[in-house]
Formats: sequence, structure tokens, C-alpha cells
Amino acid sequence: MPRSRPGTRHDIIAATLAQNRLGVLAVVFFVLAAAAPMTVVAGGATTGWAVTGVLGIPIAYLAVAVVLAIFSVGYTAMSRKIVNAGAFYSYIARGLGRVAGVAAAFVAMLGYNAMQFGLYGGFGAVTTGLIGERLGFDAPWWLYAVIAWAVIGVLGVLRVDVNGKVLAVLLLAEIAIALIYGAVEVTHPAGGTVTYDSLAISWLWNDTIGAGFATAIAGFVGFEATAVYAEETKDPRRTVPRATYLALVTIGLLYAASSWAMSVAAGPHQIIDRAKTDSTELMFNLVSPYLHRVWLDIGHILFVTSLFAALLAFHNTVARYFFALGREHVLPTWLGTTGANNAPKWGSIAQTVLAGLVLVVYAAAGLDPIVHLFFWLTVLGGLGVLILMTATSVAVIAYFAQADNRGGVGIWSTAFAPALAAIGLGYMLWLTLTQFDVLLGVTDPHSIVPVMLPSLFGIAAIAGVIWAIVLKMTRPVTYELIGMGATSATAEARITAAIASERVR
Amino acid sequence: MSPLRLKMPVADSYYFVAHDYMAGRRRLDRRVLGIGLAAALLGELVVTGVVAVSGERLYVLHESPPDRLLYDINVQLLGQPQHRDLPTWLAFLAVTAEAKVTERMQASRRLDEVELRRVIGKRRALMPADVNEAAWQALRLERALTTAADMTHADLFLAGIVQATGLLPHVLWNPDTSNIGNLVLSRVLPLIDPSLLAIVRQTEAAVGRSVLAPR
Repeated sequence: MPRSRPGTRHDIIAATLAQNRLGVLAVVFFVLAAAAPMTVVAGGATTGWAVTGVLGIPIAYLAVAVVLAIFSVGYTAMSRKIVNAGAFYSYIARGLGRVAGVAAAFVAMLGYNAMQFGLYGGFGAVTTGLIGERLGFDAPWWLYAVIAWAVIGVLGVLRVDVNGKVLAVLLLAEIAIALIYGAVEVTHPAGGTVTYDSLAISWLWNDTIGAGFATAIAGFVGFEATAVYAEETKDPRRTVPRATYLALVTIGLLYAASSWAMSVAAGPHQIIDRAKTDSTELMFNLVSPYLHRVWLDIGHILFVTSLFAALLAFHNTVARYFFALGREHVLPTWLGTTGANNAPKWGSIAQTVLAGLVLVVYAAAGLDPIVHLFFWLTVLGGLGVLILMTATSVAVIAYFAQADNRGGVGIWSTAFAPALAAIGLGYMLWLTLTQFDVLLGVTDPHSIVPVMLPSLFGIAAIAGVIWAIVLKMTRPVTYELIGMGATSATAEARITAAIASERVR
Repeated sequence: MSPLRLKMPVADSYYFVAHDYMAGRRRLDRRVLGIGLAAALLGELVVTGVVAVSGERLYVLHESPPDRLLYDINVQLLGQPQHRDLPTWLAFLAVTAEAKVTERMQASRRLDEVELRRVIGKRRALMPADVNEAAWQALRLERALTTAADMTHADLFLAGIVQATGLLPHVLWNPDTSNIGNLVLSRVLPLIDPSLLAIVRQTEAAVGRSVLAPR
């Protein structure tokens, strides 16, 4: 009787599990919802010009895309080795130790929260403008921000995720409208000639480009979530890197092309002044003479939906950070409990409360929603992510320096690329920190804001270091769980037993 | 113990806790329900002595399973000796657990398929054949956790996966006694059979992962 050998037997387990796995495009769509192209192009680039006065933002987008692609080589290589860790801080915990991990977790919490708070300013201001102009109903920006805040608070707890297909359609529509606007702008250049000044490579050596880099990085935040899906993909070895590079190429080219097209239509010498007067309306004003009003309405609506999608995405990111840290018992354990609908319930509520407080402060202080809330806080969030990525690059090198971890990964991924990324990101970080006054558009040399905002990350990191040391001394099991995320549940018993047997000895 | 039937498999009990006993509606995200039911089925295999778990590894003990569904799973286990790790089996069983458990519950007349009238058209839905039996499962756990009643390992295991899948608030609904119930569970759960405890912990991890990488 012929018998099938074990190796050739039909593997029903692997086949069944493979059916539910994600492909490259699915991961790209999940991730780009947070990157929100329309928000970056119509909001980020224009405000960047207005606030920093740096013309070279389009070339900064390209440069940042290249550096992030190099960063992704080591990052995605490590994502294959560390199961179920989608967050920078768990990479840092594994590579540079648990103390650095908690410091990174605190920096990440601050950075992603800042990003999310900032988007409320953009959403409020843009919606106010749109409704005021089209329906003649004037209301303060914070009213719409508070409405969005309430809706997101409810969606976050119920986890009524906006359907993946809806997000994909919105994303494709955003890309299409940005391309249409771009084509109109390039075919109607200022002064009749197409200029490439904003793409000049010499901008990368200009002494204000740090502000441009920071503006650009804020636009890419969210791409790093590809690694979260490592375990859910058809082939983590290929799917995650491909999705990451595809996401980076797509948004990198789109951001650079769209912002360059705007500089062509306005003229490189006028773009900064136009951005100052038109603010987030610049992109629409540049094409309005040549397109039917319907196209402008579609663009505006997509701008608002894009901001909303980004708000929801970053809300969920922060809620999951709270959840993961709650599961590890690094933050109170109740943050790590789920609602019955699989939502990180308390993490979501915590984020909503924080965002509410920030909105109250901004509304009460009468600060500008676009400059002080949207731009300042999203670039602050971008700075946080830049710090994390720089540290992660170093962590990748340290992790792969241990021979046990290296199996099957080449030296380009384990050392050269992360080292290049660390140098590139570190350089951008240095420029950003030294030019933070340019980035914020603060001209008063005595203002403490350009020092105060970045130093918040220093405070967060120091608080993280102190907390990690406290944990090590008072709760050794929790200390061992740092960076484990969802697997804490299974690791806890093992670690408790190991520590107990050590004490007996 | 159910006043109506003396023994109910863990997965059937879990199904009732995870569904509204009047309307038959799910109280959980579908993915998490699948994980919970898969864990319950693995727990049944442990309770009936068919498998044991050590760390993240399953061991088949060649005991013959008492019912058709467990028998089928055992055949799959024996047929796939290259897969012996708990997370894989939990993920694999989670895909089909809902269909399999509801099939068994229909066969044993615990669930009935009924036609519901909707605004537009009709919808087929599964309803508990006996509302009391369905409602009793959560109540039974609540009483056991908040009074000094004795609990079997299987009951504590059920409470463990109920907690891991976020259903505990439905069981410990009474704010006056929920603190006691939570405390009792957290104290007693670590003491249950190590195989069952390993499944509970793995369920917790799987639910955590599904929260952290949502679709």
C-alpha cells in the first residue's frame, strides 16, 4: 500500500491559516490610511512653507523617503525575528535593553499623542473654512474639532472601524485628486515656464533644511505600522518589506510631486508668500481658475475625510500603545483590558481624555488651530518618531550584533543599512533640533518655545528611565515583560517561575 | 451545574456566555469569538484526557474522545504531527470553531435555527433552544465566583477564557459583587491544571495580538 511521507502530506493547518493571511496591497492600504496623503499635501506642505519659509520642502520629501527606505531594511529584517512586536519601543527594548525600551515607550506615547492632537486643529480649521464658505455658517474651529473628538471617542471604544474598503476607496480618490491638481498646476506654471527650484538638490545643504526635513517626516509617520502586521501576512519575509517600500515609494513620490507642482504653479519666488496668505487653501486656490467648482468641492471633502481618517488612525495607534503597555503591566493593568468588541477600550478612553484636555487648553487660550495646533504638534510628533527611528536603527545593529539573532539575515540588513540609517536619521535629528525655531516660525530669539517643545521628549525619556529602574527594583517580573506586548500573558508565568527558582537557590 | 442537563461541554457553555440568551446575538467580535471557542475546544480535549499542554506544546495522549467533534479534531491532530504548538492550533481551530460548535449544539438540540423577519426579507439565526439553559451559564459562573461554592477545573477554565476574551463584565455584571469575583478568579486561576492554564494564557495572548493588529 502506498504511504505518503510526512513531508509530502497535505498540510491542512498551513493551508487553512494561509487563507486568512494578508497580501502586500492589503497591508499598504491599512498603513496609508494613517499617512493620509491629502492631509500632508494640502495641509502639511503648505503650512510648512508658510511657517518655516523653506522652499525646498519637495526635495526634503524625496530625501526623507530615501532615508526611511534604508531605515526599513534593518527594521523589517528585525520584524521577522521579533514576533508580535509592532512598536518601535519593543525593538529598542530588545536591542538596547529594557530601560531604553521604557524611555522609548514614553517618547512614543508623547509623539503619537502630539500627532493626534495636532490633527484636530487641522480638522477643525479646514472644516470651519469649508462649511463657512459653502453653507455660510460661521462657527469657531474648536466646535468642529470637538464634534470630531466626540465621534472618534465613540468609534474608538466601539471599534466601529471604518471599513477597509471605504478607506481604500478614499485613499485612491485622494491620490487621484492630488494627481489631477498636480497636472493642472504643472500645465499652468507661473510666468509660463516650468521651474525645478524647489527640487534642487542643493537645498539639502541649505542651513534651514532641518525645518524642511521635520515637516517632511511628519508626513510619513504611520508607514512604520507595516511591521505590526508581520504575523498576519502570507509571507512575513517578503510581504512586510515589500509593503513598506511600496508605501514609502507611493507617498514619497506623491508628496514630492504634489508639493513641487504647487511651487510651479505659484512660482518658486511667490510660493512662500502665497502659502502665508492662503494657508491650507493654497492648493485649491492654485487650481481654482482652471477647474470646475465640483472638482474643488471633491478635493475639499477628501481633505476633511483624510484628516478624519488620520485622526482615527492615530487615535487607535495611541490606544494600542496604552493597551500593550497595560498588558506588560508597565502602565496600569486596566489599560490592557479589551472591550467585548475587541477594542483596546481603556486605552481608547485614556487617549480621548488627553485629547479633550488639549482641545480645551487651545480653545481657551485662543491659539491658532493651523499654526499652533496642527503644524506645531504634528511636527512635534514627527520629531518624536524621528527620535524613535534613530534609536531603532541603533537597536537593530545591537540586536543583530548578537550572533544568535542573525540566522539567515545578510550583513547589509543587519549592519550596513541600519548604520547608514542611523547616520542619516541622526543628522536629520541634529538639524531639526538646532533649527527648531525656524521650524516653528518663531522669530523672537528669547522665546523659550523652540527649546521647551523638543525638551518634552527629554523629560519623557528621563521619566521612562526612572520608571524602568523603579520597576526593576520593585516588580522584577514586570521588568522582564517590557517589550513583550501581547505575549506578556504567556511569558509572565514562565518568568515568575524562573525568578522564584532563582530565589530558592 | 445546569438545573436542566447535568453536563455541558465547555465550548457550549462558552458559546452561551458569548451570546445574548434572548436574541441569540454575538457579544464579541467574530475573530475573538473564534479564538474563545477554539480555546474551549482545546480545553475539552484536555479535560477528557485526549491532549496535554506543556509550555506552548501539545501532547496527544491517545485517549479516545467522547464526542464526534472532539474525535474529528483528534484525527486532525494525529494527522498533522509536524504541528504541535499551541498558538498554531489555537489559530487553526479559531477559523472553523464557530461553525463546528454551533453544528454540535444544533445536533444536541441546544441551538435551534429560526427564521427572523427583518425590515427587508428574512434572516436565519441560531437561538438557544432553552432560554433558561442559555442564561444559566453566565449566572452559574457568577454565583460560583462570588460565593464560596466549589468550582471544577473545567469551570475555572471557562471563567479564564471568558476573562481572556473580555466577557467577564457580562458575567460579573453586579457591581456589588464584581470585585469579589475578579479577586477570586485572579487568585484561583493560577492554581488550575497547568494544561488548562496554558490554554487560558495563550488565549489572552491571541486576543491581545488581534487587538494590536486589527483588520
